[in-house]
Amino acid sequence: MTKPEAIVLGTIDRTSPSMWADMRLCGLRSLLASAPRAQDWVLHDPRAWLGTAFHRVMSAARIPGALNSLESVWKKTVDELATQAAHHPLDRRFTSPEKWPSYFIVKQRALALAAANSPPASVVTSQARAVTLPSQRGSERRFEARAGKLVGRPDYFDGITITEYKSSLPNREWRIAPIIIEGFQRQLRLYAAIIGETTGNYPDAARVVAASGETLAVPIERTACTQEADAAMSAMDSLNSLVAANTPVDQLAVVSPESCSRCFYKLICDAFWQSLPVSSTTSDGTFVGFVKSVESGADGDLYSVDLDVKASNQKIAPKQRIVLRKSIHGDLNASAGDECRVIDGRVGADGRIRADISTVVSKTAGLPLVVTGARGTALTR
Amino acid sequence: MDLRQPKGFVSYFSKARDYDGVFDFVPRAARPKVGRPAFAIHQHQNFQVGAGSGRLHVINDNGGRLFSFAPAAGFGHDMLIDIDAANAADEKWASANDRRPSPIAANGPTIQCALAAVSETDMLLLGISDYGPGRIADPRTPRGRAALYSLAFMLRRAAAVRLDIQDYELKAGIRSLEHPAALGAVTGQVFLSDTLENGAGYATFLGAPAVMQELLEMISRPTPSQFFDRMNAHAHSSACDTSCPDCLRSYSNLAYHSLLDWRLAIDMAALALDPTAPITLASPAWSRLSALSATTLLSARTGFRQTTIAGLEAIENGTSVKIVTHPLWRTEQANLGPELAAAWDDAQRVRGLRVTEDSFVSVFEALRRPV
Repeated sequence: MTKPEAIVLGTIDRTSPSMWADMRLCGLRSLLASAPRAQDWVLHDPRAWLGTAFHRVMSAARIPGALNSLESVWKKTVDELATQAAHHPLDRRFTSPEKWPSYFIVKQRALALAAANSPPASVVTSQARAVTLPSQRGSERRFEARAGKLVGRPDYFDGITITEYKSSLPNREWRIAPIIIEGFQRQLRLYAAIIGETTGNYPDAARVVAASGETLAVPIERTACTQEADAAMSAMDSLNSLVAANTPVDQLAVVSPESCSRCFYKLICDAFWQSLPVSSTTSDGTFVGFVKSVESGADGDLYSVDLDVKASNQKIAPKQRIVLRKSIHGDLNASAGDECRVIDGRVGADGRIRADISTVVSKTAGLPLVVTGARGTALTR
Repeated sequence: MDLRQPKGFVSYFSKARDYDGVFDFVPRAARPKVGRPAFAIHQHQNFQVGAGSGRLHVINDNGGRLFSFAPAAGFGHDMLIDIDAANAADEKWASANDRRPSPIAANGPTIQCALAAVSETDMLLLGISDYGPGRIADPRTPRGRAALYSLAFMLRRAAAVRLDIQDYELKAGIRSLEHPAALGAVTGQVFLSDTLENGAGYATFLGAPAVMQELLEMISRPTPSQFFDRMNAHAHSSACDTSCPDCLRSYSNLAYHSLLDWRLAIDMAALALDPTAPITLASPAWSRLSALSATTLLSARTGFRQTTIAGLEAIENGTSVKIVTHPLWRTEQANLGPELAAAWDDAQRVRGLRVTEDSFVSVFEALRRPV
């Protein structure tokens, strides 16, 4: 197998609410998020794609008389996303939209909510405040502040209120619910700051709308919004200084259960694999191990891999036999002695890891190095 | 697990009693099981099928507790005795006959094991490749097992018609396996094996993809054999809510009667031929039963009224709801199909009812456990 080219991380020209959310957790994560090639090693979450489709339908519903086209907007969006998935090395397991988790319930709610809110064809008035230009209202309008270094595309801004669509809001009884909600609030504050600086008028309100119809109102207070923007700019400048100084990537990473548990870039993050932070959930059994043998199954798709575990993020059996499918997990093409990384397997009560559709398995030698600037070329794994 | 097949055995040989017509029936121990097949599996239409020679295991693990065997004084040196069982039986016999019990004691190490009857025979395995969105037959649930066993025994009956043999000449069963394509899902396969040790050649013949297709067509659509037509005829479909001797029940599948359902068998066969086959309660075969299920659920509750939600039969009391579903429909929110997604949204968002996974009751459960 030819080793892929290293992913070279450079300085960031501009930041955004989503990049700021990454940066608060881990500098390396935000740099990887801005490196297009890193996306090839990310297994994306179809629930986020459903959020996109939901948002597009809700946006389309704002056009008077759009009621009859909502279903086709949904279909066009999911078809586009499924096509993108089909061309992605890991996401191609998600090419059938109807099998995305919660597909039918999100579709049902998007179409029902959009139909309920869609104005009739005769209505063409806008409730937007006169001081906001028409070009500054609408769906996914791009706003730039701080000389273009702070950008944002809120899902919808009507001149008064910012609306962000999410496929769901966290159940408030979840342990991590306050963290997720705080993330939403900071995202909207930053959008408000960007819009305020761009248009000269701060939005009056902001809200998150879930597919269930549930709404989370976020108070907009100008000072808090400006502080959020200042913090985002300052964090970007600090990170850029480190990158410009060719700081090794492991020094940019913040390795902890909090920052790593939901990180998309685990597979290619050597800093993560060096310390493998302990996980408290059984849904992300992650380990690195050496292949002992590979055995083909009867149907030509199923195969099993025996591995000796070298290190793991929770207590698991030292020897693992994982059943994989070529159509989902790809053909590992591994032979005895190869080192492999396994992420997001399910850990059973007996310490065995079971692969499911979220599990990613890859030979370590087939993964690219991640480096900053010129220094990285000298690094070896 | 230590699995042993005794060369011979006796049970309670010293104080036997005459057969009084009552079974000491342990269905768990009587179910035949197959392991990983050594033969190739072929994909055909929407099913995977393979046939060949394989080992059939009938295992008794004493309900998971295993058996304890030990040598005992007074018995042959090759014999191992279940000391506790023997003493319990002796005590019972002594009490009934006004005698003093004479317990025996182990005089050697105890072996903990399960018992097996292992036979080499011909078998075929059949699995459905794709159930379609929002549908599954999970063998861990009663309704999933019902779907798989119903297909297995319906296939056996169709095979008996096709080959002009008695249905007990084939054994039927199911096999569970992890389904990595779906989160946490387990899927099932059905198998048929020849009853005759070393095989009679039936299962290997039936396991050819074209023959299996023929059997599945016999079950799921009108064919010259009129196999489907007889089940679907008004005389049968209006009288048989689950299964009867005219469709699926026979003496040889007595242990499974409560699980068997001819409508489920037909839907499973249709799915095996086509992943887009409509699995709906609106079909003529299911609609009467769906309404009957709602009535049954209503009869078991006070303060509820019957209604329809997104076209499905339901009962509600203004705050909570029970919606009648097809046994093959998934009910977890992340895996709902279009029918239940519409029902969930209608009940929760439009009518303001509390909806959870427990709000869905399949026809299978409604008719058997309405409370």
